[in-house]
Amino acid sequence: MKLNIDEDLAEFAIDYAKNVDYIEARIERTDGNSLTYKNGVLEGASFGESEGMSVRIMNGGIGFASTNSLSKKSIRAIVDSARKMASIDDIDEGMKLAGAKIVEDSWEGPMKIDFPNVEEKIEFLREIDRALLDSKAAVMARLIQLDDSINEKYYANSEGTRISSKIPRCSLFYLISIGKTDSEQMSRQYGNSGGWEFVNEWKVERDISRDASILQKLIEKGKKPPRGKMDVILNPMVTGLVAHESCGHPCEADRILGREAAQAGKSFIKEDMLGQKIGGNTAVIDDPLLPNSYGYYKYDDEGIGARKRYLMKNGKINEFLQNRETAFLMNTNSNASARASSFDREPIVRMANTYIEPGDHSFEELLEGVKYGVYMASFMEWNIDDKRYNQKYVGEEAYLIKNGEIGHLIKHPVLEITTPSFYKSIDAVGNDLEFYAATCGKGDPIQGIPVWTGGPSVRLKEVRMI
Amino acid sequence: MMEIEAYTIKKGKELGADDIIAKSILSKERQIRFAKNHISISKEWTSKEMEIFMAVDKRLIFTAIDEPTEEKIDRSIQKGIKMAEMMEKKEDYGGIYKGEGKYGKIIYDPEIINEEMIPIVRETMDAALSKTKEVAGVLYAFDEKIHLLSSEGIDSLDNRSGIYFSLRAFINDASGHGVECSTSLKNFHPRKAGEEAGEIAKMALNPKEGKEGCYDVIFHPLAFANLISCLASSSSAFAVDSGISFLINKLNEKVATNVLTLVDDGLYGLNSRKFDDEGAPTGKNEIIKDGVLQTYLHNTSTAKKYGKKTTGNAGIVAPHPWNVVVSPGNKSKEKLLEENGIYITNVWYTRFQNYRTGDFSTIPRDGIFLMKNGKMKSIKNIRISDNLPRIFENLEYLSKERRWIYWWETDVPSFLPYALVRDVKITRSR
Repeated sequence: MKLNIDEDLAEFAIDYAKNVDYIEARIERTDGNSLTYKNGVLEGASFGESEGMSVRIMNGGIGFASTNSLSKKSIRAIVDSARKMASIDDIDEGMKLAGAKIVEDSWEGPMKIDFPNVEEKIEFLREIDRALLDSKAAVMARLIQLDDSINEKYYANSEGTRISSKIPRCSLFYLISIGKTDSEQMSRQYGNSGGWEFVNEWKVERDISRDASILQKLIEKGKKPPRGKMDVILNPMVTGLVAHESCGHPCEADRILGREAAQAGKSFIKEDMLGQKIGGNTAVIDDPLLPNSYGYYKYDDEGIGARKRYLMKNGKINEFLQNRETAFLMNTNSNASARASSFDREPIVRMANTYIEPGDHSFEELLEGVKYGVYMASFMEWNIDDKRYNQKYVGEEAYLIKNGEIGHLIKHPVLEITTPSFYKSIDAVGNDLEFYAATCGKGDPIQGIPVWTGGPSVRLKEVRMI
Repeated sequence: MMEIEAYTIKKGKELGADDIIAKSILSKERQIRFAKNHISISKEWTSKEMEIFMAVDKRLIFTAIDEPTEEKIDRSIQKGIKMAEMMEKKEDYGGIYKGEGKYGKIIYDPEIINEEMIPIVRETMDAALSKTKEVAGVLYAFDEKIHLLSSEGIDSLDNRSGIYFSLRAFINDASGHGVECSTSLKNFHPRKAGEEAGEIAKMALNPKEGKEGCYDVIFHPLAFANLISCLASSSSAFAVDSGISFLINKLNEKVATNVLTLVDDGLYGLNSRKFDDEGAPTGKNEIIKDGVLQTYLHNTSTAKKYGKKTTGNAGIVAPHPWNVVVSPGNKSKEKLLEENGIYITNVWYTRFQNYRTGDFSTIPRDGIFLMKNGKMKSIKNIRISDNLPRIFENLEYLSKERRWIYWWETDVPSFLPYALVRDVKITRSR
């Protein structure tokens, strides 16, 4: 695979950095496009060719420097700077990386259909907008954004690993406001690694039209939600978010070690809790190798081959997400969780595609078991504390369940629950696995990275709704 | 040889752009992150890029070029013009700033970027560690040189600098947070941020579970800044048009109690700059005066649509606040802390069920205290689940003392007091 990148510059950086414990160089080029469609009007089109290089040097401490000037003079300057920053005496024993296999490889994300020209993209957005207006709902505002990019990357380190990669990604986000006096809102995001072939699979026209109709009906006929202890069924859109927030994030080893403590926070999970039961028999997986997933990668940004990780198995904490830095500190191996959002960001511990493992119940079987409860089909408001323990999900499309049947729409049922209570409450897991695209934020400066969240529908027994 | 920005304007006009702006940014940034009482990584970024905006018969094109050269500029402009031919018009596009380009002054300190950072980190860490066991945080400094040229004759230079410190201190499960930011070294005193974080963590030791209910809440400026930045961002005309604001149709109406006066100031604060992305002068804009919404934040296009003048807050697509300043109240911080209720020192994860209605929740983190008859009891695991317009309708007192707030979670620098809000709905997980 021939990249549109001068790979020799990375080799130059590594050769130039003499007498350091470790150096890695990453050159990236990203060609990106974005269209914003607001209230039926194209706000504008943006495009860009971002290109630059970073080096990370370990020499007792860690130094990281980047430039978007790809001259040898600039590269010498960032190596000198990173070496100087890495050579500090602040750390007692010196920072090291866990061992890694030396790899020489190249990989490419599939792209069956090239991204089209702007005219075709605008027509795609117009069709979505028309579908929304055809819903007959009182549409007060709508915002739709379409993004695509092709990222090329060359990674090299002083241990001998060399990896070239090229990955296309495409995503869409919408937010709609329905209702003249009373108001309801809904947003969704779609995304894949791949070309234009996926946009029709998203079925955005169907979803936006349906969302608008449901919100209109919610305004007109939605009733107060029931309160108190009851059974609750969450659909895959909600369970995916829960898996990401309440299992994925607290299993990130850098949080557990306190490296993100001043920003994204710590974790209720401690280093010695591997194997400890959190609750139930649920399994939660993070898998970067899901084909065409928004969070797909074959090697992480430290050159480690990706694999499927069981973060929770049979309700027990099974594995943390590790990069080479955290793996060294925990005396284990990296499981390829190092990701950087662009050339000028350090690789930190991240999720890829996090989901609850499906069970064998059909949705009807989940419903049959509920005498009186709530079905939460989508959400808007949610948040979780900085230890990933105390969380809240507010339903947007949600229904009362009575005697195993879905009843009327209810307004904004609230599930406010601790992480152990959530997993302990799962009494049945559906077989209807689905994935949703999201952009996960972490790091300082903030790094937004593409992920999928996913899961099947799950049934919670006797949880408190407020 | 023609300077690269002038070349861009000339080339864009030649190829058919009606309006064109070239904005070059030469920047250097440095950062030290620390955790578990040690420096975890030091970083440095250097970059040179040019942002180009073109309007071609009301079709709007945006691009950015790393290390701009004439060849890259030609290619980008040609690509943009070709894209514009396939686009539809944005009928409400109102052009770009036309004016004299007379700008106010900002504080620029060229020494910030060269300052020795490790001694600052160690001194501030030590200040916190004198009271706690563990610290984590960040010191960040930047220097930016901007040159903006537009086809309306704007030719402006700006030098920007800034430095901020954010530190979180821990003892067991208790924590406290302190921040400090400035555009000059002279006014940068991070040690007090370290001391305060340590003090809050110490006071927050052995927290008990908080209880649900309605409480009067005293917000530390760190917590209040999060809510105020949501309010300021909601005043963007783009947010209003997009349905992501609770200030829709509220111009000249009461949106808060009389105690709230909120100003956006482009010339004062960490995010200060002489001109916006169109080259329009920045300055003070009174968003809320004595509780009444005075204006939305505008660029030239949104201003034209609303029959106003630009407020100097472009973003060419979306106007946004620069630095927000809340007028002080007439009570001392100590007097506010005599109130019964809950004292919240920090919040994060503010999320909306509905941006139009303002239904939201946010999670207190770091020290949270139940205040009763002058005594403070540390509590944990609570959430504010309320409505933002209602919060500002129930805002009763502001303190005389004000603080600058800027950190990872609150990215609009804010200068603001402690605040007392009546009857805030508190919930918790079980």
